[in-house]
Amino acid sequence: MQTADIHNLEFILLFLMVLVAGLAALARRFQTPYPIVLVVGGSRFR
Amino acid sequence: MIPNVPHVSLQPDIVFLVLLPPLLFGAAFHTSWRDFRLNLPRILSLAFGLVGFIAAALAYTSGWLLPGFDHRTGFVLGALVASTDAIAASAIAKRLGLPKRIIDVLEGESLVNDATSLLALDFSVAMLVGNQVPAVGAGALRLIYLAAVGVLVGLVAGRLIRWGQVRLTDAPIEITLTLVAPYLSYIAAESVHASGVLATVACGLYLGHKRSQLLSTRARLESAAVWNTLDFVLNGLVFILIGFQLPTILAAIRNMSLPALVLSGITVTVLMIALRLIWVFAESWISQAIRRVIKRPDTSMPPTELLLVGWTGMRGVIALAAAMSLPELLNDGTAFPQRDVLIFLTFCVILVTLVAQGLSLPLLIRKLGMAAAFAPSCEENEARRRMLSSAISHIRDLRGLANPAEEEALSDLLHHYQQRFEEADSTSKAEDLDVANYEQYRRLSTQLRAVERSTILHMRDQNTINDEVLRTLERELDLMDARFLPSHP
Repeated sequence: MQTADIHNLEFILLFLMVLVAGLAALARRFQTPYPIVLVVGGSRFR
Repeated sequence: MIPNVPHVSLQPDIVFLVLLPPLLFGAAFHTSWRDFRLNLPRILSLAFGLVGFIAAALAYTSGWLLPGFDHRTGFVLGALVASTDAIAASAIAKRLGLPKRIIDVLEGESLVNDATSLLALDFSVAMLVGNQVPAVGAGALRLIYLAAVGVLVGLVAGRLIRWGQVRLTDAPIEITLTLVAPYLSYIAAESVHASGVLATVACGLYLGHKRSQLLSTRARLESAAVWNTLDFVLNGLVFILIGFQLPTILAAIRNMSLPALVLSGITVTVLMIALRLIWVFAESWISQAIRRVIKRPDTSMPPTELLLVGWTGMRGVIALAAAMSLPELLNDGTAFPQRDVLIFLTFCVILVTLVAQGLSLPLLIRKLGMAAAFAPSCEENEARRRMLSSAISHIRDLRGLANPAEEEALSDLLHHYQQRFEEADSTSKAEDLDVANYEQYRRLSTQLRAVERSTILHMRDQNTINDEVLRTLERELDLMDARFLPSHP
């Protein structure tokens, strides 16, 4: 795997983890099941 | 929409081969085999009967409900959206405090129905791609092979992992083996063209049932943390990935009429919900009638529970991954009919069942007065009392035989166990006795541990003790705290 690919993968993983943690925390804050918040939250990105 | 974020596409192979095995294994590992077996007739009815019912109903109705669809594309759609999602169902159901019996049925159903819906999808795609109609007999044989060999391979993989684990007492290696189990069972079953899903579920149920004899104390404690985190991260990735696909799906249908497609999406989703409710009630009435005829005790659910089971039919990532894995071309080189619409409709069903049904569930639960209390169950209290009482009897037996040197230790142990027994006894009779006292005891003991914690933290900060001593003492306090935490979130 090229170094650029690894950096890209690293960035994607970091982005996904931060998003999962952030949206799950938001779900807990609003006492909503987290799958709903993650799906709706994920659909707002492009 | 938020621009300039990395484009992450949902690769079906990553879902099926990387994310799905540990998620299914984790769900099966925490499922009680006794409750699964108790609800097996209802689980099988939903996992096999309902999947077939939905696939057949959509095959027959799509032609006149959805523009450009015929019975074959309708069958593909039915197979795609027939199975509920293990992760979504349990994540939402547990969070909302559904009664345990309903959660058991929903989890059991969603563990098994992936295999049947993927088989139905195989058939429906074969009908379209190769323009062939698979024989019913061959289909039934294939289903039996998939299920029987899948379960067998899962059990063999479970035995193999068990064989390795009973020979080990090293927690990291034991936990690594539990991480190997889902992939081993899934890949082994897929390599003999059996159901990897059922193999992983069988392996998870088997190892979950045997875990008390398999894992060392340290491995049991640490594996729970490892698996909870892994479950959370993978679940999170799965749901985020579902959401991420919306722009891609919308881009694929940009030349079509969006209002017409949205109407089709709503039609299919309403139909799916109605079909599930019809099946759940019809199956219950039929099984009640059969039980009356054969004079067996009635174990059917009351209508309120049936309504909740019917309403909790969330779809998830497997449906979307299956839709995205549809081939782009048929054998004759023409495009797969309605491929983009099928993916869009699948996404609609997932979104509406997750969001609309998921958000309306709390209201429905409240209206039906079905919220489960979060108190420890009678079964748990009774088991705790009997566990402690047998330990007390054993100490008394030992005292009769013991040499005088052990007398003091045994007396201390007896006092400790009697205290725990009284505590458990007061919890089990909490409604009659002093609940406030018990709560006070819990609150005060937590407070005392907080004082202990701050003392050792202060000592570490003053360089009186090192971090290793702090971690050792903190672990002792954590384990005492853990007694009051639920065993699985």
